[in-house]
Order: sequence, then structure tokens, then C-alpha cells
Amino acid sequence: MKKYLAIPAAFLFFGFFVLAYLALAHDWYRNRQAPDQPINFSHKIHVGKVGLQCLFCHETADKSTYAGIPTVEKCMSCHLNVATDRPEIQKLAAYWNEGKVMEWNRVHRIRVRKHVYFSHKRHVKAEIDCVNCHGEVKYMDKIRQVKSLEMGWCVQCHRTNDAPTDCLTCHM
Amino acid sequence: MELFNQFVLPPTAAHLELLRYLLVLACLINFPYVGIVIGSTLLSLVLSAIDRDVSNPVCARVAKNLVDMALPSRITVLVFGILPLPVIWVIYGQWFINSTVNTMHLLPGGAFLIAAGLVVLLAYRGGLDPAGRNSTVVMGTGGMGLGLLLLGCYVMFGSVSRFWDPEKWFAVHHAARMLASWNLIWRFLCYMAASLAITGGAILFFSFSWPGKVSEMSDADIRLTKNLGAGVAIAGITGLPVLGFLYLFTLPIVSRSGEIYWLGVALLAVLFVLFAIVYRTIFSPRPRFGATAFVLFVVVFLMMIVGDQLTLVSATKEHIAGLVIESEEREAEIDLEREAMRAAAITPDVVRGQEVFNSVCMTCHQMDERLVGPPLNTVLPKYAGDMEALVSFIQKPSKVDPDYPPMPAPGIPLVDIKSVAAYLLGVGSGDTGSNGTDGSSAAQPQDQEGNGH
Ligand code: HEC
Ligand code: HEC
Ligand code: HEC
Ligand code: HEC
Ligand code: HEC
Repeated sequence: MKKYLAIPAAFLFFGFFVLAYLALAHDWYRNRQAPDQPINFSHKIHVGKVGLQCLFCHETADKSTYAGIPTVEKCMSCHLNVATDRPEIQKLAAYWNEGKVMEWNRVHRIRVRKHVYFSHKRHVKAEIDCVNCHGEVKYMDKIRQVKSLEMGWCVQCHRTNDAPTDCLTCHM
Repeated sequence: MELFNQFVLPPTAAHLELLRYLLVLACLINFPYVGIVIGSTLLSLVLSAIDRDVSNPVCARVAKNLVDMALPSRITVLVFGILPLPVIWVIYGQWFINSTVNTMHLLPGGAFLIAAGLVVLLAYRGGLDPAGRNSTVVMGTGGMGLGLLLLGCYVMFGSVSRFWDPEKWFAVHHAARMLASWNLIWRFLCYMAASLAITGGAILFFSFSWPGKVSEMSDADIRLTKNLGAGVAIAGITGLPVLGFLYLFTLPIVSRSGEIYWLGVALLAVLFVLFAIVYRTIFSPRPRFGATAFVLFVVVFLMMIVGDQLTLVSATKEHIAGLVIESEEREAEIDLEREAMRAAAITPDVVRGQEVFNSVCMTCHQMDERLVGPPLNTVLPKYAGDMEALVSFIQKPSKVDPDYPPMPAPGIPLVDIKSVAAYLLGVGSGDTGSNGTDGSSAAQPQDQEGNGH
């Protein structure tokens, strides 16, 4: 009798793990994977090929807590004339003509999910390169999160750099 | 020399693709074999220990059989266990050329430990007595070989697993600290579970489906061998899903991709099939365990190795993109040099220059009006008489005036750049009134060049 129970039991066992793996996959597709954007914007082209500086577009990274995402206006300072025949640019121009705001999907989301105070200004002023926290953006076609952005990661760097590590620095 | 250059220069995309297949192949030869050696040695040590406590000739005989199965000859050890190691090392080294933090020095260390472990185990096999009651020296040799092997595998996995956990690169300085990571531990244990599973599979396959083996065994031998094989295989098969989950759960975000989870689900399906096959053998007095079933165990390893490749590719996406761009730039540089030699012989053509200006430059520049870039009549005067400077700016623009966005490189041949520069300087000098006709302005740059050389 026992002999025949083992196969259904194994089926349940493996079935349970199939569900568990699928739950991880779901978390990946829903919360972690780099989201699709309204326009196929590539940092590899603009930083790597065209040679723009990060601060040219993310203007407030050295002035404010938020790095800031460029407006359509900024894009159009070039794209009124550059590559106007490409479909993606025509989409961009449509936003511009209708005066719409581009809804970029957020890639990094800790401040949305958790009550954490993070400021770009302090870090950029301390001359920490964007690469340390965002990876080799100049080689990314589609930007993605490369660091965990977990507390352990922040604190580890603070410790090695003699930056403050008491709770109230980041949690208000 | 040519071959050596291949190895130190940044590899091209096609080159890296080929390396990936080679790496999978080398791992597929090495990992299952080392897994079988680890599992069999472990079991033989346990059986010999039982036999030392209470004399048990069946245990002693089976222990000897196990080691003979895993280490049939020096050639086998060399081909499956040792030769793939340097291949794996060289390929990973190639992959991580230019990488900021390099842990490649750990890999040969791990490989050396594995090779040393295998050699010690050959001595263990030689000393092991099928009659039983083995001396402490023999058992110690076995234990030492196994320990070296496990440590070697851990260090080797650790040395490359740093690559898919780059987050800690900048903070960690000690090798010992680098090897302490949950993700690495789970990954190592996944391979150990797979090793147990394939050891069980190998025991069933080589004992019962290999010609001539069964006839030499007594009934008691057969029973012990069968139960041992099936038990170990089932332990591995059921352990792997749990460890795999922990591994996937702790995987750093850079290393993740959708595919890795689907591969995990496919692996679960294969494991379930294997469970059913192995479970059946327990109840048949003379188990038949075909080659297909054994191959499925190798497939488990294949899937895990491919999974490693997926995580690696995901984690090093930008690093590889950088390498490929570098190799393309190197090729472009060679092209550019060739073109420069050709262009030096060519007279800039003002008519061609005007065509190029109209089709390429005019999207951003007018002579007397601000578009994306500045009106050219305000910037050209500073290049008057210095065509070289203008050519090199157009070739590789740098930011000058913060009021304007930086100018991208136009990506046109040097001949065209020279022509357009000649055209522009002709127009510009026309404005200042020193030179009138196209003919003289075309001659001027030629003089410039003559002076330059
Ligand atoms: C041409 C303008 C431009 C330049 C230059 C530029 N970016 Fe961006 N960046 C954008 C736009 C537009 C987005 C939003 C769309 C997206 O996420 O792809 C963005 C998004 C990002 C994000 C993700 C924001 C989020 O949603 O969490 C990061 C991080 C980032 N950029 C970093 C950089 C870094 C680092 C550099 C310099 C190496 C750089 N960028 C240069 C335009 C630019
Ligand atoms: C100390 C680490 C660190 C450095 C250095 C850093 N960033 Fe960030 N950046 C972050 C974190 C963390 C977030 C996510 C914030 C959130 O999720 O709310 C972020 C978010 C962003 C975003 C999304 C929008 C926003 O403001 O939240 C952009 C764009 C960005 N960074 C650009 C840059 C650029 C450009 C630089 C270099 C000038 C830079 N970052 C340097 C850690 C850093
Ligand atoms: C400094 C000028 C400049 C700015 C500012 C700029 N771009 Fe571009 N962009 C370029 C150039 C040059 C190219 C063409 C590169 C090429 O030849 O492929 C380009 C290419 C593109 C493309 C690819 C077109 C295609 O299909 O090949 C997209 C999409 C794009 N830009 C979107 C944007 C967006 C969105 C912004 C604003 C955040 C922006 N650009 C800001 C210069 C700029
Ligand atoms: C690459 C290293 C690094 C990382 C990663 C990093 N920080 Fe910092 N952080 C610093 C340094 C260095 C300073 C000190 C700057 C200064 O001296 O003004 C600092 C300062 C700060 C401050 C301001 C402290 C004050 O005295 O007001 C806050 C808040 C902060 N970090 C939050 C974070 C958070 C939240 C994260 C993780 C999301 C993070 N940091 C990740 C290096 C880092
Ligand atoms: C350098 C900045 C920094 C410091 C200092 C810091 N934290 Fe955090 N903490 C964070 C960040 C960032 C997160 C969000 C992590 C995430 O999104 O997974 C966080 C999350 C947390 C959470 C929620 C964890 C979760 O998964 O929801 C707790 C609780 C917490 N911190 C407690 C503390 C305590 C207690 C201290 C003082 C010992 C402290 N933190 C100091 C940056 C910091």
C-alpha cells in the first residue's frame, strides 16, 4: 500500500516547488524586472555614443534629493532636428506637439516602497560616481537596477567611507 | 604570437559566444564526474567505517566496488577530472578580461585542490582492501582526498560566483570574506545534491546494466547496492528542489532573468521523472536501470550549468557590452588608419564638401542662425587657416559652449570630413574677404597639410 502512496506524495512535493518557483518568477516580472518605457530610450546611445554627461539630463542630481528625469522639452532640444525620421522620435514629437508629460516608469523604487530618506545631493557632492550605485549605465540599452539597494548595501559603504550609520540618518 | 594576441585582446561578440559553448562543454565533462567521485568516496568511507565497527564483509566489498566504479583508471581521472579544469580557467579568464575586481587567482587554487584530491583518492583506491577492516591510514587518506575535493569545488565555485554577485566587489578585500555568501553556499549545496543524485544513478547503472557486473555479486551485495543507490539518488533528487529554491531566492538582482525561473521549473519536471524511475527500482529484485535514466542525471547537471551561464550573462551584460564595443573600436581604429593613409593622398573636394554639409550637418547647423548647434559664422573664424583643428573637432567633437547640447560624432569617412572642412573654411574665409574663389580655398588646405608634414 505504502508503495503506491509515494508517487502521489512526490507529485505533491514537486508540485509545491513548481508553485514556489513560479511565485519567484511572478515577483521578478511584476516588481524587479526593468519596466517597459513609453519610448525606447537608450542610455547606450546617448551616454556611450553621443557622449552626454549624466548631469546634462539628470540636472538635479547634485542639487536635490531626487536626480530628476528630463522633460520632453530637453529631448526636443536635439530631436527637433536629430533623427526625426525614426518612429520612436516621431512618438516623442507627438508628446511634444500635444504638450503631454512623458510618464516614465520608475526603475528604482525603494523610496516608494519603504520609508527611507535618500539624497543624491550628499552622495554626488561627496564625489561618489553614479557607477557605484547604478552600474555601467553607458552600456545599457534599457536601464536596469543592478544593486540590491538593501539596507546592508547602504550601510556597508557608509562604514567603509566613515559616513554616518545611525538609524536616524536614513529613517526619519 | 597570433594565438597569444587572441587571448589578450578584448574578444569579439562571436568569439565570446563560442567560448560560452566551450565552457558549458568543459563543465559538463567535469562536474558530473567529480560529483560521482565525491558521492562514491563519501559512501565508501561510511561503509568502511561500519565495517570497522562490526565486521561486515558485504559493506567492505561494496565500498571497494564503489571506489573502483568512480576511479576506474588514471586515464579516466585525467580526462574527466583534471584536463577540463585549465580549460574552464582560461575561458573564465577571457570572459573577465578588464574586469575591475578580479578573483581569477582563486580559480587555479580551487582547480589545484581538486586535482590534488583526485590524486590522493587514487592512492585511497589502491589501499582499500575488499576483505575489509581497513587501517586508519587508508581511511584517513580517503577522508583527506574527499576533503580536498570538497574544498576545491567550493573555492572554484566561489571564485566565479563573485562574477554574478558584483555588488560586493567594491567592499570585499579578503578571499575568505568573498567565499562567505549565502548564495554561494546554496549553489554549492545544489551541486552537492545533484552529485548525490548522480552517484545513486551511477551505482544503479554501472552495477546492474553494465555487462558482467551482476554475475559477480552475491544476493546480499545486490540488495545493499540497490538500496544504497536508490536511497542516495532519492535523497539528492528531493533535496535539490529545496536548495534550488534557496539559491534562486538569494540570487542577486543583477543575475536574475525570467529564463532562470523557467529553467528551474523544467528542472523540477526532470527530477520528478527521475524520482519515479528510481523509486521503481527499489521494488524489483533484479533492477534494470537503463542508460537513458543515467543520461537524465547528466541532463540535470546540464540544466544547472546552463542556469549558471544564464545568471552569468545577465550579471555581466554591461561588462560584455563594454568588451564588444572595445573590440569594435579597435577594428574601427584600424579602418581609420587605413583610411587616413588613403585620405592623405586625396585632395579635399569642395563640391563634395558642400553635398556632405547639406545632407549631414544642416540638420543642426545654419551659417547665420541658431538651430541645435551654434550659427557657424560665429565659430568658424577661430579655425581660419587651421584645417587640421577643424577636421579633428568634427571627427571627435568635444563640448565647447555650455549653452548648447554637445555635438555627436557624425560617423562619416575622413575624406568627407576633410572635404566639408575645406568647404567650410572656404565659405568662412569668403566672409572675411581674404579669399574669394573655390579654387583658392581648396588649395589653401593643401598647403596647410604640406606644412604639417
Ligand atoms: C539624454 C538624456 C539622459 C542622459 C544623458 C542620461 N540619462 Fe538617465 N535617464 C534618462 C531618461 C529619459 C530616463 C527615464 C527613462 C528610463 O528609465 O529609461 C533615465 C533614467 C535613468 C535612471 C533610472 C531612473 C529610475 O526610474 O529609477 C538612472 C539610474 C539613470 N537614468 C542614470 C543615468 C546615469 C548614471 C547617466 C550618466 C551615465 C544618465 N542616466 C544619463 C535620460 C538620460
Ligand atoms: C549612493 C548611491 C547613488 C549614487 C552615487 C547615485 N545614485 Fe541615483 N539613485 C540611488 C538610489 C538608491 C536610487 C533609488 C531611489 C528610490 O528608489 O527612491 C536612485 C535613483 C536615481 C534615479 C531615479 C529618480 C530619482 O531621482 O529617484 C535617477 C535618475 C538617478 N538615480 C540618477 C543618478 C545619477 C545621474 C547619478 C550620478 C550623478 C546618481 N544617480 C548617483 C543611488 C545613487
Ligand atoms: C544631445 C542631443 C540629444 C538629446 C538631448 C537627446 N537625444 Fe536622443 N539621440 C540623439 C542622437 C544624436 C541620436 C541618434 C543616434 C544614432 O545615430 O543612432 C539619438 C537617438 C535617439 C533615439 C533612437 C532613435 C532610433 O530609433 O534609432 C531615441 C528613442 C531617442 N534618441 C530619444 C531621446 C529622448 C527620449 C531624449 C530625452 C530624454 C533624447 N533622446 C535626448 C541626441 C540626443
Ligand atoms: C558608494 C557608497 C555609498 C552608498 C552605496 C550609499 N552611501 Fe550614503 N553616503 C555615502 C557617503 C560617503 C556619505 C557622506 C557624504 C558627506 O560626507 O556629505 C553618505 C551620506 C549619506 C546621507 C547623509 C548623511 C548626513 O549626515 O546627512 C544619507 C541620508 C545617506 N547617505 C543615505 C544612504 C542610503 C539610504 C543609501 C542606500 C540606498 C546610501 N546612502 C548608500 C556613501 C554611500
Ligand atoms: C545608510 C542608510 C541606512 C541606515 C543608517 C539604516 N537603514 Fe534601515 N533601511 C535602509 C534602507 C535603504 C532600507 C530599505 C531596504 C529595502 O528596500 O529593502 C531600510 C529598511 C529598514 C527596515 C525595514 C526592513 C524591511 O525589509 O522592511 C528596518 C526595520 C530598518 N531599516 C531598521 C534600521 C535600524 C534599526 C537602523 C539603525 C541600526 C537602520 N535601519 C539604519 C537604510 C538605512
